[in-house]
Amino acid sequence: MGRNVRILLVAAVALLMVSGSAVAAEKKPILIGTSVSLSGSYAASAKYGLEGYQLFVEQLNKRGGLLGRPVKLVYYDDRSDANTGVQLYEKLITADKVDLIVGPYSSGVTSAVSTVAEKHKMAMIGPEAADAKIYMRGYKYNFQGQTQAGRYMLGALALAKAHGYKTMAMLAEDTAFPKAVSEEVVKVVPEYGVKIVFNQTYPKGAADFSALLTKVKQLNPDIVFANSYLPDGQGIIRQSREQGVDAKMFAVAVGAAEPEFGNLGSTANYIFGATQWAANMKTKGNPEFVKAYKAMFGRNPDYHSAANYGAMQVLDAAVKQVGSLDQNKIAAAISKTEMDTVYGHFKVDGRGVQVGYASALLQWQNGKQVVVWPAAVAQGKAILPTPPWSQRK
Amino acid sequence: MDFSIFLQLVVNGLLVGGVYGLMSLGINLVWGVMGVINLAHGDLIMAAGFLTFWIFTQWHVNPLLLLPAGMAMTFVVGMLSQRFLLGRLPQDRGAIKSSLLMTFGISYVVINLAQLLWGNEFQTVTYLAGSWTLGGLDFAKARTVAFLAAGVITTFLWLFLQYTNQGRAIRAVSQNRDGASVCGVDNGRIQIASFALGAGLAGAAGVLLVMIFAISPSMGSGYTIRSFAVTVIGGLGSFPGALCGAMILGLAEVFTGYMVSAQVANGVAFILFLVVLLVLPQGLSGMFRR
Repeated sequence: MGRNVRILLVAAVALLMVSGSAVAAEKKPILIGTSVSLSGSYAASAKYGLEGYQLFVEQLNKRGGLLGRPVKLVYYDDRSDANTGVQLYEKLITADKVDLIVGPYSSGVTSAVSTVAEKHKMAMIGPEAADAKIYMRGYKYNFQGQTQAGRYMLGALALAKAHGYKTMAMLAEDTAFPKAVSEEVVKVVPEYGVKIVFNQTYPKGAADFSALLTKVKQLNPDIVFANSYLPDGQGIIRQSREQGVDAKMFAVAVGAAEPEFGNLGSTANYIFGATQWAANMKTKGNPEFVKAYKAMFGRNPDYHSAANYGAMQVLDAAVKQVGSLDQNKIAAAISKTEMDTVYGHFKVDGRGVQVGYASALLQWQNGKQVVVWPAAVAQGKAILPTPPWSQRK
Repeated sequence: MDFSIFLQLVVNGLLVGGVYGLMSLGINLVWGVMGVINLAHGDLIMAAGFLTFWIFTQWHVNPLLLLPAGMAMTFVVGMLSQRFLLGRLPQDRGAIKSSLLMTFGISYVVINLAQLLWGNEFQTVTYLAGSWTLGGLDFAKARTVAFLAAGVITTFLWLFLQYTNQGRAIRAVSQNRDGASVCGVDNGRIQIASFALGAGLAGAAGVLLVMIFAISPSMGSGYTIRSFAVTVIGGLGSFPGALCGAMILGLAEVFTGYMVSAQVANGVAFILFLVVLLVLPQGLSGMFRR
């Protein structure tokens, strides 16, 4: 009896293995590779982006996959480090032999890995690379899937102009995206009647901004721009309060759009932040996206989630249009694609620079994020000027 | 430079320097007593910071009340590390190298455990926002409280080392291990006590640090380097030297940040480190002894 059972078991296992491999041979999954900043200073924002990718892949598989094959996302942690990102994309393309790739988090990492994509002639949409310079190097396989850095602070500048603010201090992390934002702001401020009185950078990972802010306080600017990510954005705002920097307006490039910015408590109130997307925007398929995201991850998406989801939508459409995994054809298709994603209107110019996606501005009011610009998507009015720190609880 | 700005920078530098002082005492103690450079020091600071962050966000406990919890956690980690890992290394010629490798390994374990438990993101504890104004100078509340707490802990440590039997035994071992052993001091036990105490001090620094700056699991090495630099600047085994070194580092960072750039401020610990090694190889305390 025992022996019979054992034989049966072996037979069953063998059968399972055979049938399993038969299915696998028939429908080998399409692998989509990416690196994600699961650790390091970009981790909070990058996690939202990853979830955007994951949601799309999950839904795509439910709809029957891509080209009749299931799809699998392959990703590794690049530790918010560009060099690690380069190694990982090399590994994804040469060792894992992924069929498609999508971009990592941040302009810095994307800028580095774009060279890998170009070298291996793999089409890559970079949904988290706002620095347009990445796409001005004559590359053929790289496409910007994020709003250009130059558009991030336009909302804050428009408000500053409307309120007649004249002087600005600007602090930026010395990496690709924050520096690009600063450069673009410097270019456009004359149109807004604003003069830059302070413009300095700080190294990635810096925690103590008190020395820089002492200088800012001395100059007493109307506006403070922190062209930052989340941890440094929080640090600058918190230490502005400690050093008594009383600007009439504070705006951060990335960070305030994250719910985690609210950990600052009452200090977060009145702070403006660029966002490229909001849950209430009337982009195509947006309400369904927000609902599905909440159901899958138990939290609200932020704009990074939507950008990455949008990149997948474009890639999916391009592959379907081409009908194969031919990278040259996919790249050609993406460059011609003009489509409405959850993130907005996707359109790249001949270089691959994003010209469709726009930017919005939110403000923290009573512990909540309220979109205040542009008028078409505003949920409330901007509150200005920011009251002096000494009068706040 | 305006005089009031100068004073403000001095205040900012000293406030940060106080916490650097507390940070460096742990590494100084372990190095002085055992000849071991604890590369996991900054990671223990980080771990205690995360423990504080976690309890604070869960139950809104005042971070200052968590000082004993943070210290106890790293104290136990330090005790176990010495008892079961470092204490087992052969005390031969390669002891320094193998202890370096061992603490490097402990550092990795602590970082990865923290990542597993608390995730990879930067976190801050928002306790005491804003500042007190005194004579036209801003004293950031969190920094001032951390500075005072660091001062209290440092005083207690000094009293402990100066006036208790255990403290005397620790000092005896740091001065002459064989001599202390001949006089009946249990070397092994003192090593465990010192390493645990050093780790506990790292824990205290971590609890205070998270009140001031954002922390992340990967930030530990930066604080190991700062603590190490302070110890080199101040002089190994010297209490007043270490505190002076910490204040100098705090002031140097703030002033270079103001006058040169944040990038140079970030590396000023290394610059001081080199200058001291070239000019005053025994640190500041060497200057007094000469």
